[in-house]
Amino acid sequence: MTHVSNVFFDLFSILPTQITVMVMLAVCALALLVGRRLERGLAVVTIAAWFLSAAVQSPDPVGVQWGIFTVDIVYLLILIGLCTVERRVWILFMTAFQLLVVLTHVAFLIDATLMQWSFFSTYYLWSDAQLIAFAVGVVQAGWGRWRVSKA
Amino acid sequence: MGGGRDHVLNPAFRLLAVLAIAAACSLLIGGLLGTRQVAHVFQLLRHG
Repeated sequence: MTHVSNVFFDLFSILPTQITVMVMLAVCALALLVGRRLERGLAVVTIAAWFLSAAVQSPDPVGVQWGIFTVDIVYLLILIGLCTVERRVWILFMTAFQLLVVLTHVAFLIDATLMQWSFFSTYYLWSDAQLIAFAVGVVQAGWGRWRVSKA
Repeated sequence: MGGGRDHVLNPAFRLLAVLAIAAACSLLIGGLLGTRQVAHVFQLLRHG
């Protein structure tokens, strides 16, 4: 239990993560409230992926984040599957940014001299871009729903 | 991003679009800012 609480303390320990987690939870809550089946499903998967990533995060400052890498690959495969059957443009952007998240892991695997902090900086950058794409999708779904209810 | 309209495209074409977006964004961030500068911004956020 102490380990689990430490993991979640680490998750919220620095400002970029605190802001991003709050934004992610807000976007996902909005998706659950106003989204269609796609947005609602993706909100659940996104929350699960973020918390799983925090749970499997390695405290080793120079080691490869194999746990997060695995979670990110699974998340990417889900997004690739969705973007081949869904017609929305925002999901293409979300998948592209997740691909860049996975490529960040690959870059770290190829060049071990990259410091962990650089890795997480780039990781947060693409995660934030991904959240923006998801927020656009949620706003579009909410806007569409509002227009239908008005008509 | 599409203004909420549906865009019907071939799945293979959509995957190519994903690759193109990823490449464009990577070049944009890499070219304009550089990883060190981006890291520096986050370092400033971290340490104040």
